[in-house]
Amino acid sequence: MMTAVTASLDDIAIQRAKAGDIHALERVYRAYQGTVYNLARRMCRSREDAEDVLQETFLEVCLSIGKFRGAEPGSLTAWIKRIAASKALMKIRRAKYRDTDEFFEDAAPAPETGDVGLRMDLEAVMCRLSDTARAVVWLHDIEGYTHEDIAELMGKSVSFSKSQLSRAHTRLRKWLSGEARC
Amino acid sequence: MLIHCTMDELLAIRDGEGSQAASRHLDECDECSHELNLLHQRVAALKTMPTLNPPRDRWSVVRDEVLAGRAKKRRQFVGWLGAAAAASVMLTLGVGQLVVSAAREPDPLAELVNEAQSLEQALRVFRPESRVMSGRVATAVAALEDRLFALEVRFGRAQQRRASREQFIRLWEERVGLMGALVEVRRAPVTYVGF
Repeated sequence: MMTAVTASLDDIAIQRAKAGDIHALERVYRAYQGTVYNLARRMCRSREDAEDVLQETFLEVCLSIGKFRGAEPGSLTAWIKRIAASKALMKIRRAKYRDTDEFFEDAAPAPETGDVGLRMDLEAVMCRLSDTARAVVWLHDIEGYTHEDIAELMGKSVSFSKSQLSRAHTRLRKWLSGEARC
Repeated sequence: MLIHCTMDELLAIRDGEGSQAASRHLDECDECSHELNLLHQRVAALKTMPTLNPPRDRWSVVRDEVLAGRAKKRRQFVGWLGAAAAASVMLTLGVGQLVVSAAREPDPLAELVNEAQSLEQALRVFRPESRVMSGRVATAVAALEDRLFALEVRFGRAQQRRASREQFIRLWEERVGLMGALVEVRRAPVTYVGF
C-alpha cells in the first residue's frame, strides 16, 4: 500500500540507502514500517510477534538493500513485503509448537449485522483461523500473491495453499453466517 | 439432485480458473451465485480492514544492530587484513628461507656443469696446438677425446629420449671425469716449441 511517505522516497534516497547511508535507511524504515507491521500483524497471532517481524524485516532490508536490483515503480515495496511475509511465516513456523494448526472454534463471537459488523466479525474470525490459514488468506486475497508464490514462501505445495484457502473460506463463511452450507 | 459448487470451485471461478461445468452451474444456480457474492464481500471487507500501525518505534533497535554488524565486519576485515599481512610476511620469509636453503643445498647437476665449464677453460689455457707431447701422452689424449666424443653422442641420444635428471647427472659425471683426466694428462710436463 503506497502512502504519501512511501511516495516521497525518491530514487536518490533509495540509491543512498543501497549505498548504506544510515539516514537514507531510516527513511526507508519510516516509509515502510506501517506496511510491514500491518502485513505482519494480519499474519501473526500476537502484536509482539508482529513487532519482531517488523524488526527482523528491516534488519534484513538494511543488510540486503545493496543487492536489490528492482527498477520498476513499486518493486521496492514488493521486495520489502516479500521479506516481511517470509519473516512472518518463519515466525509462524517457529511458534507452531504452541499452535496445533487447528481452528479455534470455541471462541466464536456472536454474529453482528451490517458492514461495520461484518468487518468487526472478520477481525474476530480471522483471529480464530490457524496462523497458516490466516496467512494464506491474507497473502492470496489481500496482497495478491499467487498460490505458487505462497507455496514457495511456505515451502509447501500449491495444492496445500489452495486447500488452506478453501478451508479457511469455508470456516469464515460458516462463522460469519452462523449457518452450515450443504 | 442439484449439486452446488464447492468452496474450491467458487474460489477457482473467482480466480478465473473454474471449470466450464462449474461456471454453467453458477449461471443457473441462485444459491451458488449468492455464495460467490458472499465470497467477494468477505474479501472486500478484509480489504477495508484498518491499517495497523506499530505501537513502538523499532528504528533505534534496527539501527543499532545494523551499526553493530558493520563494526563487527570492520573488525573482522581488519583482523583478516592483519592475518593476510602476517601470512604474506611469513610466506615471503618462507620463500626467502627456501631460496637460502636452496642456495645452501648444492644442485649436483649445476655443480657438474660448472665443473665441466671450468675444466673446459683449463683445457683452452693449455693451448695444445703449441705444445709437443710424447707419444704416450698423445695416445692417452686421443683415447680420452674419443671417449668424450662417444659421450657427446650418448648425450644427444639422452636428450632425444628425454632422459631423467638422474641419467643426465651420470652422463655429466662421466664427462667431468673424462675432462678432468684430459686436463691432468695435458698438465704433464711439456716442452714448449718456440716459433
